[in-house]
Amino acid sequence: MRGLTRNLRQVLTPATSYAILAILALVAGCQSLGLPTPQGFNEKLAASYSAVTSVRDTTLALLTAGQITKDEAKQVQARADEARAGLDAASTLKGSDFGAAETRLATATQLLTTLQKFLADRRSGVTTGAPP
Amino acid sequence: MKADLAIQILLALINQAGVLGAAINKARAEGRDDLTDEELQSFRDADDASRLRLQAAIDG
Repeated sequence: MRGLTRNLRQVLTPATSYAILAILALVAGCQSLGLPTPQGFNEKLAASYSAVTSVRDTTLALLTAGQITKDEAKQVQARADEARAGLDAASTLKGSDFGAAETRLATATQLLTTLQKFLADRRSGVTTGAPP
Repeated sequence: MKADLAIQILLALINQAGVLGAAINKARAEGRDDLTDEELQSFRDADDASRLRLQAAIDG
């Protein structure tokens, strides 16, 4: 039992714990919307790709409405590209290094959550703060 | 926030959620617990198209 606890401590670094929490938040978000819960890794990836697309679509709507500047939209686009690259890497890694793939997925999800918060603030009329 | 902007954003979110839900439901109906790589590719393609639309607005 003591060995198991020690092993868990080695595996559950702060980064890994945050990654697990980010994935749980993604799954919980789907449940709250009445969506079927993503189970397989590709389904979790698909949910995250959809989140990247939502970030871009929301940014386009806000830019068209004049609620964010072109420079801010450019920054969000660049961060969305980063998240997308992380998801693509996770997809590539899933067959060879599943742990690394999960970490990439969780990191991208964390970035997307931050971007969605920025966009939600702008939708609500909060004009302070730069894109993350 | 103007109502038409709110509705536009809401529709975009519902569309994304609907596409994802339909893909997962289709997989379950076929007895699978995950999407195929081909199905996953369609989500990448949708994001590619979204990226191009946003970039055109930024450049325009």
